Amino acid sequence: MGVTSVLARWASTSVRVLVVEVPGSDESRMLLEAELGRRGWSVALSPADADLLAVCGIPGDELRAACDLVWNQLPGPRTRVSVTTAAALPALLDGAVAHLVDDSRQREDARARSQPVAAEDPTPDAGEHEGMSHEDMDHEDMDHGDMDHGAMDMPMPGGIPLAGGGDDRDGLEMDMLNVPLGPVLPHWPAGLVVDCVLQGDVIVSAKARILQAASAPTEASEQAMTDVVDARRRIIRLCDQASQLLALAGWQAAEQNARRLRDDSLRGADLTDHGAALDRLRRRVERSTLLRWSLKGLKLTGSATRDDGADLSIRHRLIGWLREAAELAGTIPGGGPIAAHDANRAQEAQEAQDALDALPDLLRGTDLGTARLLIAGLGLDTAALRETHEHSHD
Amino acid sequence: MTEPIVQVSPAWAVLAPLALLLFALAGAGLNGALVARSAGRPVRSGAGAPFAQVARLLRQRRQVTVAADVLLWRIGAGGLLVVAILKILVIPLGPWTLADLDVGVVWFNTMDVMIWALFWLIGWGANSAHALVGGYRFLSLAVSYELPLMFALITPAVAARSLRVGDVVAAQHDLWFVIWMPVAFVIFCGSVIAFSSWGPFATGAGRDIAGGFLADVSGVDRLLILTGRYAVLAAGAAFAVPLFLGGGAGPLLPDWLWTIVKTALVLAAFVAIRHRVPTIRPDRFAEVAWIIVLPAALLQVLVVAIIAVGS
Amino acid sequence: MLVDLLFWALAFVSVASGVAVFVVDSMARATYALAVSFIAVGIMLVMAGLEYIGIITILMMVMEMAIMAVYMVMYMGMNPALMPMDMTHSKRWSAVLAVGTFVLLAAGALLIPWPARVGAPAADLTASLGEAIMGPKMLAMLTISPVLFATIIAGLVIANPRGRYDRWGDDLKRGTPNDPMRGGLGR
Repeated sequence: MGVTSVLARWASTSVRVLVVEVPGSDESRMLLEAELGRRGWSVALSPADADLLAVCGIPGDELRAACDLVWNQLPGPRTRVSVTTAAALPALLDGAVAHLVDDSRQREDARARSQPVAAEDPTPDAGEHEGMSHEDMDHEDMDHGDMDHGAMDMPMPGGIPLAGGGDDRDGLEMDMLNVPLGPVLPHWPAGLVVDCVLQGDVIVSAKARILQAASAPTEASEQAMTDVVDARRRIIRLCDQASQLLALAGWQAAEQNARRLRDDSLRGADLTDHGAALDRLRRRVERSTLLRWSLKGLKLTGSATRDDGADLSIRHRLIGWLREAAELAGTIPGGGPIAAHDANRAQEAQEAQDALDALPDLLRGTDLGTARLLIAGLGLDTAALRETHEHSHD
Repeated sequence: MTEPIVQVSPAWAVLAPLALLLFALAGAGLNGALVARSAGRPVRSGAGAPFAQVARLLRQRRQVTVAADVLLWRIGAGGLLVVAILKILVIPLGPWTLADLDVGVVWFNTMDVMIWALFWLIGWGANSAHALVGGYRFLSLAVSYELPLMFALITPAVAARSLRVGDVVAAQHDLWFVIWMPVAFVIFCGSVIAFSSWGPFATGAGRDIAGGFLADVSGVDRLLILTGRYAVLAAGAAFAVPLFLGGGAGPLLPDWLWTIVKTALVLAAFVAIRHRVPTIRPDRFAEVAWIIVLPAALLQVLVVAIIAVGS
Repeated sequence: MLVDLLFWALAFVSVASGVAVFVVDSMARATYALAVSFIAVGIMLVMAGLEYIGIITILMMVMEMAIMAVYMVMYMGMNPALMPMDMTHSKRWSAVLAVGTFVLLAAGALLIPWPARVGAPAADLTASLGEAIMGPKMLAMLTISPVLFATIIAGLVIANPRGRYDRWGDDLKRGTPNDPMRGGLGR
């Protein structure tokens, strides 16, 4: 008994959490992340790296299906929680730990799982295999490059069909692989799925869609949201976007800095020193020659930017966010004025829609790393989008 | 201070992996402490994080993806640690070494090349898009890391007129090589970091591709890879000592202790750099490596060769 | 005794992994089976006292195989790279050729009256081997290798569809190359 329980106790001090954000639940996610930071837990980058699946908000059918798929990819010991209210968060995570360290329950779970996403499972990564051509080949007599197409039935490994071919941007023929990015990815807009056709790691074409939250608005998170003054909300959002972008740029120290500032504002801390701290972070980002060089040439073009036509570099976008946040924090030392609510919302929704529409053009011909930075630079607010959808349906 | 380097009985080889693992653990602990500090948590809790990670990964089941090439995947995962151990065989600890190879410098380089294969195999084995992208990212840049590294390794060998690590140490009796071949030293350090897929060069395991070649590994495999990464980093730090930092030379302390102290300092610098700088985007590095770094390394060899021939 | 055992074990590994190259059904495995074979040969060379050549064989071959795996996957038309596939072509003729070559070489090794050793091996085998190969022909090698290298590069430059001419224009005077993606120095 001794060794396993000691291992379990040690392991429970550093749980890795795969966070799924449902559109409109960004505040739950941020509160969860802040709580994880306090406990010394960390956010997992992929299902294989996670012990705990935390779904923030109440997902709609499609997003729920995606969560279930991801849940199946957690290696185990594993547990899942649904985060909807801020109040119960510590208790919720304590419960998750209790479940994680409970060896008998975990063994039961392991037994209950059918095959651990093993071979012969025909559709483990749903979506990844749709729309690919089935081309069977005969490799037995492949003399001098003569190939015989479609004659024989060949067992597909794991039921995955072959990728189709197509010319790449350099005029060479390359495989085209259909890979959906999202909805469960770290540092990724909530609910966004970009269905990409990849050649190597270059995106040939992309289509964006949003997996929505469950149609009934979640009372709890709405409630939590309105408690926060609009300007403060904006600061939180800007800091969050900046930290996501810095994380993707691989600058851990600056990311942590932005995140701590975000969490302070979220907690409702006094914002007097905040402006100065944000300003320091901005100057630090501005001064980094390595970041400048590394992000050079990454631009948001076309309708993705607010002023049409003019390209906006990702780095300037990042600096702009930090500057705006610092200025906002300077204007509201204690509480602060509430901006015109509805006008802002409508404008935000329009911006988000424009950004979403611009995605396919923006991503065409970029590699995965660049695409991720560009998407983070868009600062896509998928929750705002939902409102436009509802308006347009009315 | 410098005595001739003697080869000790192979029985001591049991201690080498242990020492390497301790260094790897120290590196991971320092990394945890730095993470904790920047997140505003107590540093001590961060320094203990590696133990929690080990416990966690030992408990975790191994997840296998669809149609994974499990054999190659496991070879890649286990190989890193083996390569790191093989690397340190030629590194003298003060006056003692496990293998006094004629061509110790080339041996170290060969083990670096093994890492090309291993990271690619890890990415390949999982049969998933992000992991494969990670593996290819590493391999496609490996040439850009390797050529400057080769010339950086050759530079001390040229000055010592020998590929034997012991001779390189002896040649620094009067002046450490780091002082008159700083460019080679910097390039060597950068390449060690790059070959450990660490810090600014960690694009193969980048956040933008959900952990890259690490995306689908779990349980013991993940533990082996993460440990192997720290071990490779530590082995690289240890090799910088005989190559550039005068081996065990130093006042007061015995030679073997100086080797350990210097290794620890270099390793700490390697670990700390991860927290100071952003990632170098993979599509931007190759040009710099070929147009700036490689000629700089060649110039350094040229200068050293002229001085070595002249003296 | 131990050394003999190690030698035979390595010999077995090198031949077995050489056979595996043709037996396995995946390109990656075939490539790395070949790498294992070369590693075994490299260690045997080290055992024969040729440390430099043995280790450099391992270095070069692992590097080559790592890159070859990429090229095999890349150039195998119609994407069966990830599929299980047969690694052999023209089976009958290649078998005849392989067996023929083996018989010829083995017969040569066994039947040639090898001269008895005269004198002792040199102290530094690597250096003396280098002298023997390069000594009298240094000038020729110095001339040939740059020419060969330049030929390879020139061939690539001309053949590559997105190479120098495409980027800088026919007369190499185009101001900024027309690249989909800029390199780190903005070239």
